[in-house]
Amino acid sequence: MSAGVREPVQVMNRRDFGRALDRLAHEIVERNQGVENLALIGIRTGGAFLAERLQKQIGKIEGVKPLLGIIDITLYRDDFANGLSNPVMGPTEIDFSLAGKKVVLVDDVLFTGRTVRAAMDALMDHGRPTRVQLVVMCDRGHRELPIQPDYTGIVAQTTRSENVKVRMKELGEEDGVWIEPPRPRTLPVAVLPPPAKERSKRKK
Amino acid sequence: MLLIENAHVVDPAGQLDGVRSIEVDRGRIRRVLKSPPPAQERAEYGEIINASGMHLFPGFLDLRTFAGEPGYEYKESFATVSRAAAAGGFTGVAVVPWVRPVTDSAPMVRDVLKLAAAHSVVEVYPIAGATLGLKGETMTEAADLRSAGAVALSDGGRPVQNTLLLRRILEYAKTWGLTVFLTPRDPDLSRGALVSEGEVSARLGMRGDPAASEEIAVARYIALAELTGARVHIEPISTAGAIRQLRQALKRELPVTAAVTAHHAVLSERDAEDFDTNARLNPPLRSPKDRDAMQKALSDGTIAAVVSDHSPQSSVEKQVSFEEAEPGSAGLETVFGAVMDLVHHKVIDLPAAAGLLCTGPARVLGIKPNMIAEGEKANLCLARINADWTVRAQDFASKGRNSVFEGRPMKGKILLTLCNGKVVWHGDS
Amino acid sequence: MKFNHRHVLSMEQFSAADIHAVLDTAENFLELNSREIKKVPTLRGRAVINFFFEPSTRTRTSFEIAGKRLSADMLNLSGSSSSVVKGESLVDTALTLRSMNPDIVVVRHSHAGAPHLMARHVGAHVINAGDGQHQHPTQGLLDLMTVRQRFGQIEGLKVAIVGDILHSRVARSDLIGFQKCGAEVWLCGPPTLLPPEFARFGARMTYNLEEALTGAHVIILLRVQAERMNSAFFPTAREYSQRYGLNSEKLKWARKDAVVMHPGPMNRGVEIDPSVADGAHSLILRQVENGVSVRAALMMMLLGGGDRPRGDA
Repeated sequence: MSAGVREPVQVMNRRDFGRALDRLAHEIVERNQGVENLALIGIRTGGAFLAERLQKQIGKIEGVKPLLGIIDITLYRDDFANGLSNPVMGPTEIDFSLAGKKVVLVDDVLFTGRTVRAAMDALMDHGRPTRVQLVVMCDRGHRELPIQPDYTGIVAQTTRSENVKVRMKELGEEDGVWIEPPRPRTLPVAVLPPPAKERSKRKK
Repeated sequence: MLLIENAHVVDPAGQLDGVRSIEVDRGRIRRVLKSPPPAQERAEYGEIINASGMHLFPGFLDLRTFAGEPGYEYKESFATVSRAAAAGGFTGVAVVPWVRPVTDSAPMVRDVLKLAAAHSVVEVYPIAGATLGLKGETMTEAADLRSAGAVALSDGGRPVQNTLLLRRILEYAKTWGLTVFLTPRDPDLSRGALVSEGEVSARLGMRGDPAASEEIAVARYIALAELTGARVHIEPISTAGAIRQLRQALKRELPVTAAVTAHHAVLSERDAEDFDTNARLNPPLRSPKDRDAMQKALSDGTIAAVVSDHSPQSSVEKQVSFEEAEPGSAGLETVFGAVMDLVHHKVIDLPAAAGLLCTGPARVLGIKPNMIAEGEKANLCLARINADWTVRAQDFASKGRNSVFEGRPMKGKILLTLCNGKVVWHGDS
Repeated sequence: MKFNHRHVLSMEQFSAADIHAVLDTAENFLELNSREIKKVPTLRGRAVINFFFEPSTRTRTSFEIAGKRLSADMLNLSGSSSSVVKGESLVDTALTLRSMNPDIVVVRHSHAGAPHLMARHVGAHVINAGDGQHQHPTQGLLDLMTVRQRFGQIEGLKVAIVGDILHSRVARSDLIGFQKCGAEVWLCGPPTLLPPEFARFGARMTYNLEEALTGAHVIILLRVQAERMNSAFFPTAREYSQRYGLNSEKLKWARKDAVVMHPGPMNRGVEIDPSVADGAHSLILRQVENGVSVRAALMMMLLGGGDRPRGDA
């Protein structure tokens, strides 16, 4: 395996996290020239809490809160067709039209880029925003798709098999970003070999 | 000359239940010896079978065998059915008339006998239809049928609805000493039924056959037996209510007999997996209470015979939905195991078991039962009553691959069957 | 929670937890219905065969919409269980379908157990869309969903199922499903259509509609088939309607917030008065909407086995 971490390593503590949130909020407002037609869409579940925080933060800065929505990507996952996932769907909560909106997708960790790809597909099915931007708390590299964040909390050097955890008080933990050693036998989805033994057999 | 030595002989007709050695010569039993012949005589035997630890019964007689011929050769033939019979210890089978064409005239009876003579390895007793085409409309020529070799008349699984006609049939059959086999069912109540009415029908949403259907029919037949004095044989029965009435009738010494199938004697509706077409039977498997009533009636003599209701079906008829499936189970090769199950569970003893398979059926037909005595026909079967085996219909001698006992363990196996002195079945071990 | 079912054949196979998991997923599909673009790519490239041996526009369409929303390739086949293809057994049919390599086969058949037989041979997931008078599990699930939506729970509710219980696969699915989820189920109908052996299900039974409806949260009416009227299960439709049909007067026996459901198609004026069918208590159209969601949820759950790796990707 890799020469990666054996114990969880903290790369962002509570204060770093707060500062990053503050900076991201400022960047978003600056780039979009205010909150008019601005919608934050969190990717369920990690991105949802982060989006809420950003909404609050931007509200503090601008005096007006941007729109907030949550998107569930279960139905858009590209690993679904391999029979991999145990589909646990959450609701998608976007109670406004996306037409004419500047959408900022919010996720906690950017890794292969597949989640964001799915989220963009899902987003497009909800309407036609004028722009879509991406904000992530942690970019850990190892992209498999041509996707880059517009706003980044932190860039972390990781090996493929390590796990990046964004902890938040909404999940009952102290805010922070951690790199955890590889979990035994639970590899990231993207590197699992095509499992469907049965399917390939049936094909021939 | 063949010697079967030191077998435990169980002969209900001769009331023999003990270790004997049997000499078989030219198709007959030459001697029944209390101890094996001395060493110097042993050279006289062409073959000696050491049967110690095994049981020797007179060959069994089945009252309900579907032979397939003529007309349903894809389901069964005399060649295969007779081997299936032999494998089950039967040296005689009474074959049912619902073949194609129906056995309802003397030429048809002779045809059946001709086919049997050419292909069967066991004795065949044709049962003829009581009405033309089994339609329940016109009486058949009972006297002619009898002289052609029919041993009984039957409604052919379709109750004769016209009670006056049924009365005439019974009266007329009596003249010629023919037993009439009647099907205990009320066609209206049982129409479209797939399972027994009750728990299973409610759960599976399939039409149920109420026990009352059988009970009504049994009451009707008993009344007619009393009215006409004819020999009425009711088969196959499956309900506790039928047993109650039979017991009454026998107490009053009415000329009524009844038979139960081996599967109704040991299985209940709870034993069949949902929608298993092998368990599509007519009548359907009943409640455990009914099954218990069958066993009680077997132990106290209310039921005269256990029958195979051998109904082999081709895969086409079983690889369909339960509703479309033809009812029936290829039964000849599992009767002995099922009856031994009753013995092992102390429901009946060995002589009673042999009685239900030999003397009982013979009594129903009014023919002489097989016996193990000097000068008798060598119709014999040798069994190991504790042999464990598992029912696999694919290994059957019958063409039928459908068994309601499929996959079930059994204890008791036929090792050797002799019909008129000839070895017609030689099992493994 | 893992959804460990290869097929959906009978309500008997599900635990209460299974049922709630299906309903949770189905709830999330409702949102799809309100969108402009109602299609998601989840089952792209997957093949679903709708095999209806018995005509049913309603159920077939519901499955079809569900499959199409998930981008599955839907193939509708109809067959006749009785007349046409004698000689081809159901097993043959299953083997033929198998060679088309479908992922899901939805089976509606007039014979009880036909989907079970298919499941053994077809080499795909089988969903029972109604087999004879045996089971109609997707209808049962959508009924449960409709009730849970309204009352927030199923446990502790009084559910009255009224009408032709004997011949109803919906009744068999509903009564098992509602009981598993902790509801108190009452069965009500004339004795010819509610034989005593139904006691085995553990539901309360009554021939008196008022008793069944008193305090009921949910009233499920069953369709009275025309052929039953002609085979002496009850004397006339008029008398049936008087004793067991639901109108607004009799509805007052139930709770004020009671809901009325019907699997459809309805005989207005026989088992249900139009004023009730179209009234405020009726959830009949909601049932239809929920039907699509439940069926989509099942397709997704059947094809998405295994644990979902969380957190990354």
